[in-house]
Amino acid sequence: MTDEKSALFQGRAQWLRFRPSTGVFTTGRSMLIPILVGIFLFALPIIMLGIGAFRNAPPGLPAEWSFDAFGRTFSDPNTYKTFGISVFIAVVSSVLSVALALILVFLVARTTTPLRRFVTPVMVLVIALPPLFYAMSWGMLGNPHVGMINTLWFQLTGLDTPIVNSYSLTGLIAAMVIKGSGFCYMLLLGPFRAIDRSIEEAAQMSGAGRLRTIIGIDLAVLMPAITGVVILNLVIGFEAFDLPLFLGTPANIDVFSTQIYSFITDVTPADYGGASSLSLVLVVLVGALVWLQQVILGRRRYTTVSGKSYNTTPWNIGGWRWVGTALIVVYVVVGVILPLLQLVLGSFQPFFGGGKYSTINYEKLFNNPATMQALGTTILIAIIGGAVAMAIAFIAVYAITHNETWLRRVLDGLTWLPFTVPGIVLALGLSWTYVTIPGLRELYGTVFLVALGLIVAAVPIATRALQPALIQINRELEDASRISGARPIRVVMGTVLPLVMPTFLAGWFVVAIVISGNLTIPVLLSNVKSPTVPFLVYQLTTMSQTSQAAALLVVELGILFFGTLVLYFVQRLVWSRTRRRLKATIAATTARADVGDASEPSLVSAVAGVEAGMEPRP
Amino acid sequence: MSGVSLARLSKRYSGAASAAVQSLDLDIAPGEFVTLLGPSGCGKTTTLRMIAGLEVPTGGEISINDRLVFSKERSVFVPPEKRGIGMVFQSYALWPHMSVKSTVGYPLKLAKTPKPERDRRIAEMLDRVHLADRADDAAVALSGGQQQRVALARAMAGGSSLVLFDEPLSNLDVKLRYAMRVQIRELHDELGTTSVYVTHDQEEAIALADRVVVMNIGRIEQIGTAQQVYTKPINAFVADFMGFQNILPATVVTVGGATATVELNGIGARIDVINDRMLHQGDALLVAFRASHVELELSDTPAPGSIPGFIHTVTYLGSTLRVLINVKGGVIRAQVDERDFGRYGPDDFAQGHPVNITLSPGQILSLPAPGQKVHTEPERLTSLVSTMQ
Repeated sequence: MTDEKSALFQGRAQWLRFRPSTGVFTTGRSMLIPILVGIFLFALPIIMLGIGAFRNAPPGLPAEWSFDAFGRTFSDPNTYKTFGISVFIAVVSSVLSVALALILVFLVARTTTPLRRFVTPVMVLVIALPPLFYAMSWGMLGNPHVGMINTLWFQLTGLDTPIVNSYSLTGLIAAMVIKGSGFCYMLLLGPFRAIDRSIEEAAQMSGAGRLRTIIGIDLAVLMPAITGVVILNLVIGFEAFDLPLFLGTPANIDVFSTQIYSFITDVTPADYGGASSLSLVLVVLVGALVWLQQVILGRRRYTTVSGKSYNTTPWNIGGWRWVGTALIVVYVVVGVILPLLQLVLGSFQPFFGGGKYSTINYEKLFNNPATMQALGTTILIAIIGGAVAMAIAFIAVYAITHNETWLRRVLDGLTWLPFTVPGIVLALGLSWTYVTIPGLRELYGTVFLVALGLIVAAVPIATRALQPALIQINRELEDASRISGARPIRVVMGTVLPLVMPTFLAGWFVVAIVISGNLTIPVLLSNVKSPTVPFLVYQLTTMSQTSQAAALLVVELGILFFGTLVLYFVQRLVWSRTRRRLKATIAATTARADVGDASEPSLVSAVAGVEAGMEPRP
Repeated sequence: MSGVSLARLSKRYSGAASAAVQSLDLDIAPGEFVTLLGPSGCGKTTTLRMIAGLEVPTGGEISINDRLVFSKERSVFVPPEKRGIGMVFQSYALWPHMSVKSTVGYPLKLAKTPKPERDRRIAEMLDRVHLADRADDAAVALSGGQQQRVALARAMAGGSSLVLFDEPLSNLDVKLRYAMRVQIRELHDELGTTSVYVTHDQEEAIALADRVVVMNIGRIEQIGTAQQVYTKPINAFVADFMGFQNILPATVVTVGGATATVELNGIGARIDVINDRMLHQGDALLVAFRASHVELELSDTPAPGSIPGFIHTVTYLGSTLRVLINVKGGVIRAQVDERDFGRYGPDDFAQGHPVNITLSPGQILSLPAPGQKVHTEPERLTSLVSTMQ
């Protein structure tokens, strides 16, 4: 700075407090724009939802304030039935998912069970496959009349009573456990591996047997982590939409999310007030759970879980390992192979459950310009929306980690709001917001609003993906850049961004996958003219065109799989060329426990890492 | 003309109970090598980071080469990238995505130095730190010592007249530390830079610096040449920090010209000290002396002018023997050098063995007693207060 400039600076009014900036987003005033954008994107939908619950007319129409909707909601016995079933499903599926995940984590991390190395990659697949896929394929697989399992059962026994029925409480919970256990597994594998083995050895030296060590020491040490995962799973259970919609609704099992949806689509005119008041109940419930988890995780630190773990010889569990192997095989078959097989086979049937296998469904798809357009739109939204979500997350996380005022906590809370708000509620809130605000009303029903909704919903995932990487960057690297003569913005672009680039790209990829499989946002925000693939899949299913829907889903998953494959090989290629440099980058910027089995930043471990990063703030 | 000038420099972190740096005044001449020495939390790193511009002070002024870079009163803050300084960080702070060459050339690149000139300077700097053959390697792929040399080359490549060092050698092993120390001083002398060097290692501070600034809880305890600070600490804190293992409370008995006789409180023994502080009879003071200046005589008959005691524990340190001696009313730390090992038999240092301790007046410091103005409580010898009673 020249002396004239300093003089100019000095000439400023004295009442302006002298608070020079030491970098991007370090001062309070620099947080103004991020916080305003955060309020607009994340807080406004919820505020509008709250307002909407106290109005007696749909969005966009003149209305009066009233407690009408609340009165209706809380005097309706159905509300309490829905509440009971929601809680039951969430609790049971959460506990079972965690139990299943714990057994698998133990088999993988501490025993010599054959096939244990398959578990982690399979879990990554379970996580990566959208809930829509499980909703669709399990509905088909466990169809009481024409599902693959029952057909086989009929042929084997000659009976005509089905053994499984997906469209039931058990069927719904089973599907949620299979999907949820993948997530729990990834969250628990890291802490389990990171346990300081010396505390186990100390227990053994004190005379504890191995089983006793596992139960008395390992599980006890992991208890905060396990509790956290159970609560997180409860949240996910309450927010689940796709599975209850596909498997529960046909059997008249309604949970919060599907009930909210039904208030808007099954009633004419749509009962926005009822949907909003029910949403508020759900928001409060989920908010309380998230808060509870923060309290539990916040109070108890993983003091014994140190970063450096060294391998001890795995436990030989004797004949039990074959039981373990059997469990793994059953999980892989039921969790991945059968659903995939059923979906693909079903997509080749002219109508679900009958007819000669043919490519007729695919021909119909490819000949329908509307479908092709939906496919193109979805992929475009996934790629661009993913990039935007990652960019928002980068700015937010950078601001949160670099700001020196209390405002950083405000922004942190804002970026976390969409996580505590179930997708269907977010969608509802967004429709309130954009229909009410003049100028934005025109966006309603267009892909832009759908894209915006998907981005808002994806920001928490993007944030979790980036945060560990950004926190790991030693602040002195940025200081060194400043001292070398780089202006603050150049520090970010020239030093910080290149260092988090591998994580940024991996996160972008994961967010794109999540966006492309999201049904909850488009189900309320898009319309027949601008559908995304998940929305179209759902529509085809409700019109009993299950085979068509299956074919469309297969096409989308195929494109995702192909995209993953291409990225994987590109990464391999780049990797082998810059192996050493990247390795050094990883070593210097990340010290996190490797979640996947891979020691290099492959896409597999990227997905695992990002999803595992969904764990709320410690 | 001054290299760096700090006036009433203060820093208080929001929410902190006390200031990290309290009204610091310091003038550093151009070309001078100054170390900021002190225990962790004494504010030395905060001071350095304020000079760099990485922290904003909460009060005072900073000038670098007579240019005002910070003033609270005049609302001046020059950001770090415009202060034209070099800095070596504790963690090396090498960018993992850059090669050695581009790391060293980064400040030049940002200063828009033409490429031929830049390449010449990079080559020269790498030559100076003996890393010319590693120019194209990733900087973080090098060994610890090499990495620190890259950081050093980067800090000096821009031709800055002021280079700041934030405990740059604390992550290196002892042997490398010695070599790097020599190299840092050589580069300082050859390039004629002003250097401010933060460390908590008194040996390092003394070996490197023209002037040592001893800091404690955000304030300066003593400023002086390396020799002054090492041999003539002004209070118990500095003496303790400079390795005076024995700091004992005493009272002046008689004053006789150049020397004074003092009695060690509790111990009762009388020793002579040089009277350089205008002591009067009855004055309370602290006497400080190094373990290596304690003369030990193995004898059970007390000699005049010596302090009788018994061996408590002996620690073998290779080149020296640390001896802890119980005397009436306290303990005295002594040290026996390797070359004197021969004077003693194998059983001479058995626990409980009687010894006579002799001290020569020239090696005893007299320091202000607790309660007096320049006194500061030492960090490590917490027993001092208890022995006072």
